[in-house]
Amino acid sequence: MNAGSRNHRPALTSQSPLIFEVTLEGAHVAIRGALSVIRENLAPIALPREELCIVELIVAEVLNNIVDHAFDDHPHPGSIRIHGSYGPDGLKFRFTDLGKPMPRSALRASQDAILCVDPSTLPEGGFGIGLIKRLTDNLDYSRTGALNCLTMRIPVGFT
Amino acid sequence: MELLARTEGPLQLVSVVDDRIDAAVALVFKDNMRRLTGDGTGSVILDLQKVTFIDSSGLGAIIAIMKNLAPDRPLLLAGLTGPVARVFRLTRMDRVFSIYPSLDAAIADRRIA
Repeated sequence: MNAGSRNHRPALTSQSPLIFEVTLEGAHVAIRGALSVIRENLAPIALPREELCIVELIVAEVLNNIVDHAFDDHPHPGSIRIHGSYGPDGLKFRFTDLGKPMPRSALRASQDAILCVDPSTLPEGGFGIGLIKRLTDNLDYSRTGALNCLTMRIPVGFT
Repeated sequence: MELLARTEGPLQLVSVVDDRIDAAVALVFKDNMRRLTGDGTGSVILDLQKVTFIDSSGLGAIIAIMKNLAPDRPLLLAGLTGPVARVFRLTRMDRVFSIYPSLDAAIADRRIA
């Protein structure tokens, strides 16, 4: 392994995709730990630091949204399961939880049209979905029974 | 959430010591900033050079701090690292805030102003 080269990427084939799963409690305090585990899991593909930061930001925003909305008002929040894979078609994530459903309108909303406004009227939240949409491909949400499932592809690595 | 505050002439400088401003600390960060800047006057420069990760909660906290200081005390941001600058750029908040490459640059600019 040529560890000295920033651009070196193992030639993953469909026979040898990187797959990992991380499960965390649906609470803000658990997010830093989960991000750290994901960084460790992604180490074999040696993403450039900048791309790793993007992955971390997206995962953090998704987890924040699940904690804030799916598990909002839950005295005993359930767990969030993260399934990650890296193969010929890129880095993909699937997030599942048994919290409240996400409103269909949520993925359409974003804080884009806020330029040239009075700073005192600036929103202090709602930026997370916009960041996720901007930095991912194939973002899709489904609800099957009580299960929320959010999937996405992140255009990093050799893709 | 550790912050270091000092004054330099009419300016109040606050440095974030932690390397992350995320959902786990956003509220505490906002409260600490409010407490630290509560009885001052003049511009506040927030030094972010040690921060290597910010999420939308952290961004929301900085917007709340800016609104809380307005209209009398401008909030300037200094020393944004790559990942932090990216979040400001992608949310277009880089056009709302005065952003300086370093604390020294922000101080120099305010001295002239």
